Amino acid sequence: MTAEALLTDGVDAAATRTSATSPALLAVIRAARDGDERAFEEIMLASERRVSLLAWRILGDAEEVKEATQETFLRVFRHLRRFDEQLDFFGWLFRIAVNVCHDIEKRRRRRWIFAPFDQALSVASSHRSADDTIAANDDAALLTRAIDALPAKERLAVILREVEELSTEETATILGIAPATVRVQVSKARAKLRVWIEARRGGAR
Amino acid sequence: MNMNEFRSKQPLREEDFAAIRRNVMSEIAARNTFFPIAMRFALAAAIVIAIGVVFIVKRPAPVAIETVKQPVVIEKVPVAVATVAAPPATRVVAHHPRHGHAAHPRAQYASATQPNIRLEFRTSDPEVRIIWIASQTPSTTTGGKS
Repeated sequence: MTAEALLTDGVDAAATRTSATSPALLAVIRAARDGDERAFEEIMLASERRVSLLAWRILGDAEEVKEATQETFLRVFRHLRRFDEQLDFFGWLFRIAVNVCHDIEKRRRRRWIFAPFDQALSVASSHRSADDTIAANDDAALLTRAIDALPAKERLAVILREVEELSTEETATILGIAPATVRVQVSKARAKLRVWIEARRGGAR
Repeated sequence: MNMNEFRSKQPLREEDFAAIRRNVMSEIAARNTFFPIAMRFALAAAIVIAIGVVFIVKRPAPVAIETVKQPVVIEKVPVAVATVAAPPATRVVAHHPRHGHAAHPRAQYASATQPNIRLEFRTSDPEVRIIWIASQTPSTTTGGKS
């Protein structure tokens, strides 16, 4: 089965958000578990775009996205035997991806702490360079900057819940927190985003 | 504001994905080649351990050497008990102080706890004996006074 077939048949985003892993994808996962490298490549082909997009939304730096995507699939391969077939594969995959992004962010923060000030500034601004090309009052750019300005936990919650459009329960599972906590974090994040965007728009006028 | 606009553009190109896949697959291949070697080492180690265990189990049991323990006899040497002959009954003359003073506590203590020493000298004549009874109380020096 090709990656396209997996995407259209079993890995349809809407389907995977509400139900467990599709039988077609499950068969490929089982084959990959048994050491079929071709099957694992099929899994990568079917999911790499979603993983990289999620990493992009969290990290905002193309080089770090490459690193995160690669590390995510290596971890998936390492822990594929532990995957519970009753669960949604993409939820499990997203959890790994979020953890990888979290590790990369931590490393980035350490780099800021130990780097000289001018280098730190360049590192800090590099992952926003893509957005800088967009006009400052552009809605997408404003939203991007507003989400980037959120605290890490709220940012992850809002990305998974609002941007990736996962359910509260799925977001809670991925982040390893209670659904109620997700609701609180998303609510706080929305309020902060509103204030942040209003302030920028007000200042621009 | 539509949240889907948030960094919705895919940052990686097809070449990037191909490179990622290549890297991941080469890492996996390296793992797969390493693990058979590791497995071979593990198998060899397991065989050596198994042979060792079998050798230890099959080894003849050591001959039991009976050693008779000689009973240890502890000879008790009779302890010499010095027996002091009880002093003969002597007539103790109670001292009645003339002035009704209470006896000195040291003197009381000495008379109560210290036995008297009785020396008996026998002369050639069996009828004649010299008996000297002395108190063991420490001699109190009178500082020249008699």
